[in-house]
Amino acid sequence: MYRNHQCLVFEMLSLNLYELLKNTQFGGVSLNLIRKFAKQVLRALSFLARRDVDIIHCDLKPENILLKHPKKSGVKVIDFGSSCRSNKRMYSYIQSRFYRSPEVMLGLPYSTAIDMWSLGCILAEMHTGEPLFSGSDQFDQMQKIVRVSHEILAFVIVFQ
Amino acid sequence: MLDQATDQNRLQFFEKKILSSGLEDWTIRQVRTVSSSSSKSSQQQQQQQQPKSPIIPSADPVASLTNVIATERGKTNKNFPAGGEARNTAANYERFIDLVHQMLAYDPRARITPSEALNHPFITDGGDLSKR
Repeated sequence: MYRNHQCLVFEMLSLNLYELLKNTQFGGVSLNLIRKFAKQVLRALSFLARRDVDIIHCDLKPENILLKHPKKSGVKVIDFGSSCRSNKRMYSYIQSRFYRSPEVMLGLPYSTAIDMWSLGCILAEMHTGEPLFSGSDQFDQMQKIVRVSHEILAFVIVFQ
Repeated sequence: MLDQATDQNRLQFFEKKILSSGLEDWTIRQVRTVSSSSSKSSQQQQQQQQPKSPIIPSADPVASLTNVIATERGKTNKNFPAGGEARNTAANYERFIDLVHQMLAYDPRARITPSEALNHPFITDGGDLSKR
């Protein structure tokens, strides 16, 4: 408590992954560095997916992955402001558009798997420097995704 | 996945065609749907928003993913000194694309889980190549 305000104190972290990409003039970073980032974020996701934890981050994006130190590859996932339990989903309009999963766009029930979709988009972006699916709106987003893969349609046919 | 979504959600992106066999087939909409409440002028505007090239769903997702990633990489990397690229061996690159592809499975049940991903060759084997 400080002057009647409850304060939460966090450690000081460095650049986020978007700023890191900006520093490469959006040229992207090496696969070796991506591997180091991916491993750490996957460990975080694997913890969140544990049955006794069961938390969906709901807003995984480069801006929410921060370097601990500007010259080292250690990262932390931040901003659990939109997160929820998979059995207590709060909203249907979640995730930042570029990293939004198909099930969220279609208004279906979602799970911790939506964070994995976001991570896939993030890893591709870390390599190329550009967002993988940069939709200008939800419609454009779906078109950009389908352009890359038609599996969503194959899936429908299988399940008819 | 689409058959579980409500019409309101799926018709926003896809249109349904009934094939001669009686099967339902869904295709991606080429043009934005115009909601009934919008005025005529905005309808005309909407119709002019035809995409420059038709949206053709890719038949080979891995190839198109590789393509998108490689093109973007080439485009943005011109004025950026090469250095990292030499270390990105072809096999390593393939493993990377494969992992990203599995993370982007449309069906959330088919999508790779965090523990499976931690055991993916890109994460487990790749490190050895970088030690040279």
